Amino acid sequence: MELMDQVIQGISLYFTFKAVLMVAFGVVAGILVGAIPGISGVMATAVLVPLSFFMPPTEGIPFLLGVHKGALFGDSIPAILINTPGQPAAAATALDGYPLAQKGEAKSAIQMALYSSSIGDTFSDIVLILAAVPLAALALQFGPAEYFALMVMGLTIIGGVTGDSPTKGILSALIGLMIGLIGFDAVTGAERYTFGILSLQGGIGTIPLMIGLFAVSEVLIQAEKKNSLLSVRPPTAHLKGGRNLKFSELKACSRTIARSSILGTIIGAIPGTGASIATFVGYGAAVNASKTPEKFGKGSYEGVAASESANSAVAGADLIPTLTLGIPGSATAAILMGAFLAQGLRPGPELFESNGSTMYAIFALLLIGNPIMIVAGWLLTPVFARVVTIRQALLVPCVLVLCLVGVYTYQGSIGDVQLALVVGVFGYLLRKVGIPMAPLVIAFIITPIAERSLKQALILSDGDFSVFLTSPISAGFLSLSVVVIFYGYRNQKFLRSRKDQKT
Amino acid sequence: MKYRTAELATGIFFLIFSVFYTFYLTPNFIVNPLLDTTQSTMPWTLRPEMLPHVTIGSFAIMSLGLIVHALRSNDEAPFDFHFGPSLKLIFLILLTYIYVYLLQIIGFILLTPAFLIALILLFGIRDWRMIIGVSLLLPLFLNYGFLYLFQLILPEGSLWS
Repeated sequence: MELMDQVIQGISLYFTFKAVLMVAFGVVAGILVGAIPGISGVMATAVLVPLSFFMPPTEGIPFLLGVHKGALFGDSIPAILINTPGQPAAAATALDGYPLAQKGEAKSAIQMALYSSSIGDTFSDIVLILAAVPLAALALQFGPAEYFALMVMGLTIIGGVTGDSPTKGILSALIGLMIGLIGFDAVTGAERYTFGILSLQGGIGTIPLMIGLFAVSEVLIQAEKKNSLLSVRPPTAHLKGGRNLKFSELKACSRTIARSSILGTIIGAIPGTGASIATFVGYGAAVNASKTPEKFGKGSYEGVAASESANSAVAGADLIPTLTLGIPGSATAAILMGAFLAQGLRPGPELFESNGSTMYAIFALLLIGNPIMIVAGWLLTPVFARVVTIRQALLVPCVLVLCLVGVYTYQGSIGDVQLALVVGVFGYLLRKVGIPMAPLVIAFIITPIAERSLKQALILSDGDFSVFLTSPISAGFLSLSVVVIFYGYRNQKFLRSRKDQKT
Repeated sequence: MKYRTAELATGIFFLIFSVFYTFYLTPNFIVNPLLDTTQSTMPWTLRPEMLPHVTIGSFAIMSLGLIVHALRSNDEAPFDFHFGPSLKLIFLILLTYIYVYLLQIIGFILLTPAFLIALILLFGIRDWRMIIGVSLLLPLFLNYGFLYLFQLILPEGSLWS
């Protein structure tokens, strides 16, 4: 009965015409920004997040959910139209999408991406809804020791499987922890690493850090390209005309979409694995299962469907650890969590207890976002061809100004803008040496919660560290962390030996 | 420069940073409000230095791991660094720092067009209609968009107030 009350309360509070309109606005903005060549879905989310600060939570949260969905699909558009995937996850879409566009079937290829993306996303949203309540209920049974061990396990998984080396992934997570330690210590009230700067007492701002790491550093990566590449307009002759996707073509790919949606959801639910792994696993499985594998890579609708449904299935799945455990599943989920925090909502198991109605409203809005994405994608298809042809030499400066203005709007502070710039240069240097950004941001976000749990557990045990090993659940999580690190190194060794064999 | 050399340099830099963090930053920049007597009775695990020590210890170990990995690697891939574009990048970063610094003095609406013109020229576009159009329209759109939609005033500049 209480559950029904919360659902009704959530729907009456959030499920208004204005909220649905904000989802639509978020979806359209996410698709359009994500469609700009060289801008990844993560960067699109980071650039658009500041707009939500001017909205009340009842509008800001729907907007953010829309952006999350739209940006992920938006990535596939430049991949299909001009063979420029915004991030590695969209590279598999480009393998078949671009040959289709060259054959004059760009419109139908985008529609296939749109439908398979929406189906994959809907499937993972349903799994999220079904899994969230029992998982959060389970997490609520955990004491501080178990919760801290769970955070350590989440961080180890993220660090161990993100990027090309577990060492770099873990180093990234540790840098995030160090940045997260700046400010006041929750237990003793000690001031840590503030260097007497007043604005650092509350810690490093989430938004300057995220925009700096994901958007400013990406601008610097793009700016590094030769001017001849930046100022050239991509060829567009093959984008004119085209036909709509036939229902029979979509039906022929239904098995592939279902398979990739399941794979994407499973992979996406594991923190840190991300869309790129899901996409290539989904694509590989589709090649293996296909009766015509020779068509893949030469313009196969099945290829587009396989990669896009797996890619979008990650969107809902990576919210499972984010919303239920408070551990962001991916970089996009971390940005979203940062924005939720700015809206006064702390995702995690307690949110189901303290603000259950908001959670059910989020679920409803996630589901309504998918048909909205189909309509928006369908209507905006003619616009995409124009968006992808904008020269990067014009876009890069505009995006940089947008990022800086976005950071300024967070608290109206120039100090934040300076911080974002410093973080952006730092992020750029880390990316140059192959240190992934996602573990850093995720570790930064969870540091205050992890430290609070750690200190609570230690206070209860009079400062005895063995409390983490005497609780079977906590010991289990920590053992699993060791296994994950071991697996990460073994996997790296295997990949290196395979690379050596090839060369 | 080879990629593994860059990895080696990163590992060494991280290791030096770990030493700096442990022996300079942590002792000097953790200000504990508790009395010395209270602190001395407090278990080490509850002190504010505990988590920074554990973190930096792990960081140093992983940095050593990175150094060992780079030394053992036979990867001959080159490090993606070119002097020409990097000079452009340094100029871009400098220009942006100057822009952010001057924002408070000159203001968003007057400074941003000049900043955009400089950047677009830096990236090789010479079509002046396009340059002027973008550099004037974007700041105007952002300034009035934020003002009327979100009631937020972008920096106006202390020079004019």
